[in-house]
Amino acid sequence: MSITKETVKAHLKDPAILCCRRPKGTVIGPADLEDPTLFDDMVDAGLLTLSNDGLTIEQVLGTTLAGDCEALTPITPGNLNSVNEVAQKAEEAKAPEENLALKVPETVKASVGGNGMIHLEVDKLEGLSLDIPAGIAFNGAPVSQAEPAAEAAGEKKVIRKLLKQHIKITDAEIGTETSIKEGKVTIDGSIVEKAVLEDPLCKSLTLDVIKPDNHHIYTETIMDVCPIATKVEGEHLGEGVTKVADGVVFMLTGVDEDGVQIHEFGSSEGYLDEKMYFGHPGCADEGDIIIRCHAVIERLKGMSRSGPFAAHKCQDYIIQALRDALKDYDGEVVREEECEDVRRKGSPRVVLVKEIMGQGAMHDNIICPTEPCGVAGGQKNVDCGNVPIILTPNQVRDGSIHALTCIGPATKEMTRHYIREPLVEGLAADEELDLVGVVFIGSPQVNDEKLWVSERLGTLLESMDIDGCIITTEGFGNNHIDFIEHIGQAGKRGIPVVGVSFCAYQGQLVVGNKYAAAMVEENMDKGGFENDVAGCSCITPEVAARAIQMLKNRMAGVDIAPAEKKWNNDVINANNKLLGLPETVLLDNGTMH
Amino acid sequence: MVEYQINPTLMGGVIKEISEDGCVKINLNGRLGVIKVPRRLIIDDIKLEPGHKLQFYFSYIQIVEDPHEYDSSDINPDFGINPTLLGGKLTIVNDTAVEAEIMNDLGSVAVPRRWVFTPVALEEGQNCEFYFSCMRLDGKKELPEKSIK
Repeated sequence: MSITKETVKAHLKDPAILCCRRPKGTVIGPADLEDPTLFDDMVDAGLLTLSNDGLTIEQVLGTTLAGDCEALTPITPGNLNSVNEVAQKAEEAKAPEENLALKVPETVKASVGGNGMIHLEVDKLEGLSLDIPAGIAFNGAPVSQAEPAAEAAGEKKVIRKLLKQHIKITDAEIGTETSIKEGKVTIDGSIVEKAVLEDPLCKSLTLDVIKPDNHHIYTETIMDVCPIATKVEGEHLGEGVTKVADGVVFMLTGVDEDGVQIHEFGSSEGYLDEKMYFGHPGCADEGDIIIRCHAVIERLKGMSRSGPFAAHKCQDYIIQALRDALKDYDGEVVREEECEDVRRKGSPRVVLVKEIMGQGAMHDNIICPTEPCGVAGGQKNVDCGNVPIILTPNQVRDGSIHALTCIGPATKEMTRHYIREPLVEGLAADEELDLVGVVFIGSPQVNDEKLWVSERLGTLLESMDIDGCIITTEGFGNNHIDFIEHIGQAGKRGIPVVGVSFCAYQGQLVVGNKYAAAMVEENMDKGGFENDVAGCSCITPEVAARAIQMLKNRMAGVDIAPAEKKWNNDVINANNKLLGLPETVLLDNGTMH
Repeated sequence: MVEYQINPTLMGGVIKEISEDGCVKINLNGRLGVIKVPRRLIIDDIKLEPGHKLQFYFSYIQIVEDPHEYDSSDINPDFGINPTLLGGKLTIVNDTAVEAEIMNDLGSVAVPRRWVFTPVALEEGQNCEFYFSCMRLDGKKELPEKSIK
């Protein structure tokens, strides 16, 4: 991949390597040279061997090849008619940045002003003045609270409220009627006969109950984990009152009539306790009862959009029966969540952008169904052209996304993930920020389509007049192209931006830009691979906390130390430590390391 | 115009099936694809069984409108596992995945759509390229009996 004139300036001292074979007589320019940021990976992959007598880029620019020269081979004096003379200059020692925290000299005065910003003055640096959002950690430096201004900026204005009541469920069984009584869920076993009629591609459904003490049980590939939640007040998702069954979730699995796993790709079936990261946002919790709904769909339909969707649709029929029972059940409320859509005028306006899959059968999502986490009434983002769609934080927290995604067990975000998305919850709860919305944008297949939806996102972000944004993507692959493009769309408009993704070893970015400088890693696999454990490497509360702090740093103009060349979990844990977060312990799932 | 670079990555997979004609079916770890290769691409000279783990180089798949002349001579077990840029042709395209036949009868790879980088809408018959290598054994895992086909 050739480089630009701009890139050349930053890499004059790096080795000069041709990106493609070039004939004798070629006058070497930036377009002939390989990107030096790729060298480490190429060396690791065995594609490139650097040479001690290789020349640097500044030594070869504008010179002429004396003979044909192969790609990915260091250019040596013997390859050229002449070598540029380069003035030797003593390298200035530059201390490596140890962490991302802002080191505050003792002579700094800090105070919280009435506009929600921290004002710093540094006595020994004449003229330096910084405005930083309040709440940023300063390595323990005391921050004084100024007298409240007459008109408080950042004042909360509530737009709408949502109350989520978590109703205690202690038991579940398949019986002869569908009901919720005294904490026990009962599902009429014959309901599957009606449920399969919802879609002719669904040939049969089977229900069983997996209790928390029986997790070492064989399971087919886990397609989704879905809560039982229902509206009891409020016209739309995001407002009123929602009941959520606490202690029980649905888990969807499926095969086709030949026994082939739905969208069969590699081995993910196995024992449940080895295939689910219990406790992560998209997964069942350790103490949850799991109602397993196993669908058999029409032969050879596992790879079409209609096949897996049929399984979700038929399961939704069953869940709806329980939703109806939950509406009338006045059981013990174990927890209440008061969710608010608010404006905090004067506080930094931020947006969360979530790139979701948008390429077909197992790369799709249902947006804004009628019931929380439901299927009926919603629209698929693929059918909407993958354009950015904005939801309020409350709408997301009220189950506006039903995930149809299946591939990539560890990195996919299942339906339960969205109703308790840690970044949405973290940003919405942060009193220093004004979370103006959550944008969902699909990732299409073709490069030009990716750029097209990304430009739409850029325009949207510009029109929202925001001060910062966090952009996440689900899984890895060609979606990293649009993910990075989204970051560029924000960056080139001067919007501070933080990216969040699984990258690690296997999902290393294939593309980059100068705005992708503040990135947060989701990986929790020991080898840095996509593993077979559902929900392992997703956005956790710790990932969210790091991303939110990094956004604040970014908005405050605090330098983010460059990432190490390779994924290193020690960097993540150093940041965890800075923020008082628990250590990120990697799961040894047998991947290479 | 999108500029990106596909790079070979050392990856792992598990043998799921060995057919009578010597074709070895391998599930990529993390449900990221299914690869079928002739037995001769697997370096170690032991009787292969379902559950054997393999290491090899693989990369994203790039659709190319003007394919190069690819050289598969490095796909030779005597040379070890070397990442080699190979050509292929899409034989199946559906809502979920693509399958590509690897040049010179070296087998096939089936991967989810987001594994494929493309400037054009996917269609059967398109040319593609990707890094691939021979494979070496990396132990064995016990597969649940139900998951062995």
